[in-house]
Amino acid sequence: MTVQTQPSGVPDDAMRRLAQMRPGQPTSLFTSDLSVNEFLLVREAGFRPLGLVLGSSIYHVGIQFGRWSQNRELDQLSQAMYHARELAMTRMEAEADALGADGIVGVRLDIEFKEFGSELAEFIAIGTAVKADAPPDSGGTWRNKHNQPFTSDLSGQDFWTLIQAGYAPLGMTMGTCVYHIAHQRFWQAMGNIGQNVEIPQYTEALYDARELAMSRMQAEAEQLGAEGIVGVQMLSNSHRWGGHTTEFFAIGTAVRPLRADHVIAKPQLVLPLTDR
Amino acid sequence: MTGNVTVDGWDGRGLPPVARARVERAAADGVRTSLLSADGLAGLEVAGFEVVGEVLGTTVMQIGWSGWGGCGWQPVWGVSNRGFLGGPRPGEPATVTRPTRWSGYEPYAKAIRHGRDTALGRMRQEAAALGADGVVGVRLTEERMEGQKREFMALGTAVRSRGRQRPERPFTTDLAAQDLAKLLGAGWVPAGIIYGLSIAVRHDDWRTNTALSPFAGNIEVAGYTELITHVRAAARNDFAAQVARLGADAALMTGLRSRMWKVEVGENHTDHAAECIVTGNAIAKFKIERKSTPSSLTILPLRSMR
Repeated sequence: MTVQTQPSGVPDDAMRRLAQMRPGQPTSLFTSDLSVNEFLLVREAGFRPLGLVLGSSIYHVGIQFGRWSQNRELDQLSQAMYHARELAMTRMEAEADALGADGIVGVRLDIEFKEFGSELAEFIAIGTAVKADAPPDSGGTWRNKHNQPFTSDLSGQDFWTLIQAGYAPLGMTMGTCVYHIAHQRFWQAMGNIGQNVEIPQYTEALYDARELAMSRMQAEAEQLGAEGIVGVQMLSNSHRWGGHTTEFFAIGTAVRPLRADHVIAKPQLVLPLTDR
Repeated sequence: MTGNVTVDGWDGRGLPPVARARVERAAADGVRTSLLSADGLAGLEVAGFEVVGEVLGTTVMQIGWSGWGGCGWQPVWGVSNRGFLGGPRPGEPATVTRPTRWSGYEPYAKAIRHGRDTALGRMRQEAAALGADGVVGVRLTEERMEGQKREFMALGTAVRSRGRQRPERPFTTDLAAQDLAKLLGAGWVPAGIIYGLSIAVRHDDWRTNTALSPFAGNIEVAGYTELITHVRAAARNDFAAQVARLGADAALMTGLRSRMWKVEVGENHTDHAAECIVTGNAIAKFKIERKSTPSSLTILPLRSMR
């Protein structure tokens, strides 16, 4: 982003505005956790931030054990992760809906296990609700087909690029699978000592779990009528369940085309004067 | 605070003698120290400011009594669960500053506010003494020292506008100078660092305890969700109220920190308390003569990512 100010720009108007500030004067107040770059880019993309929106749920995750030597999904734990995230997301969306937003950008979805309870975790969704200055050129609305504000975990920069290229975010889609990976049997482990070999049951378990998570994410996108999913992250986290029980979590932003052609300005090459 | 006079005769008001001496020297000679990076300095140049000097505000506070004497349980039946919370209900303007019987953590919140405000205030005094218009790139830190002491420190670079117009008091911002330039170019000016703070405690009732049992299965712990939601909402309301009090138009949040902990209130009973602090910059819109909205340039930097 370049700023067109005269080289020796004199911020007189800015200083005058500060001098004129009076407590309690009517303002069109909004708050946002976007960075300055993101804030300005979102504005340039034709969206006005309305306010920070947040949803949270503190959840007691049940207990389920897998059999020592069996590869399987722990469906109860998968369900807990789904349900709790859903609670946080819908609460955030409800806040945005109440603000009359068209969408939520820069969404972060975090899980924090609490120290004061072993099965307690907080699920939190946080983002900035935005409203478009004008409906999309192709007609229709910015909201998704359920008439809910769209959600997107893309950064302001990526959001700007997406809109420029003629795409609109539809919603965040996710898939999760908590999987118990079987331990090796004793003689198998013995046989592998000192050898370079693939351990097929581990490979299979990881494949299985990731495929489940990704196909669930895909199903969510199909439900939204998306063209595709961008910015997918494939995370694995064992939270507090020990080494053999892991959550595989796929998350991305489903997008739809706004117009048939998708052109983006040819980038200009620059040589930055920074060493990083 | 007042009444204690230090060895060199400082009573806690204004700046300590050492700070005053340093600021006077900095104002007299032409040496300008700054905490800015080379990029920051270039950004400042574009924005029309020049560096005045490095400014600091610090205070050490003893936070001995955090207040709080009961378990926050309100013996009123037939009301919604909101009544079980310490502090104000969501939607009410003020946060812990409202003196209710149940807002037990008020002295603690007051101490935190006092510490932060004193550090920021002293830093602003130094900036004013140097004839600055603002302080950029402020770092506001809180460090726990041994015992129950805590140091609050604000450190930043004082800047002065090249124009003729002066604000009534120096603005503060924790944004980098580059970001200041971008904001000014788009018609926004940072008005000040603000924060919202809220602390509350909630009685762990039997329903909460049931949800915590190992046999409870997958279930939301409604009481805790309510407590943390309440604390966050109150901190955000406080944050927004501060923006309005400054007379600014918007705020860019830079941090939201919340934490929840156990409080032992009596034998075999614990309650839970939560705090939330929201930090950010109030920004105000001004009219720019030429419509100079920043334009984005699609560029491809010629560097390898790793």
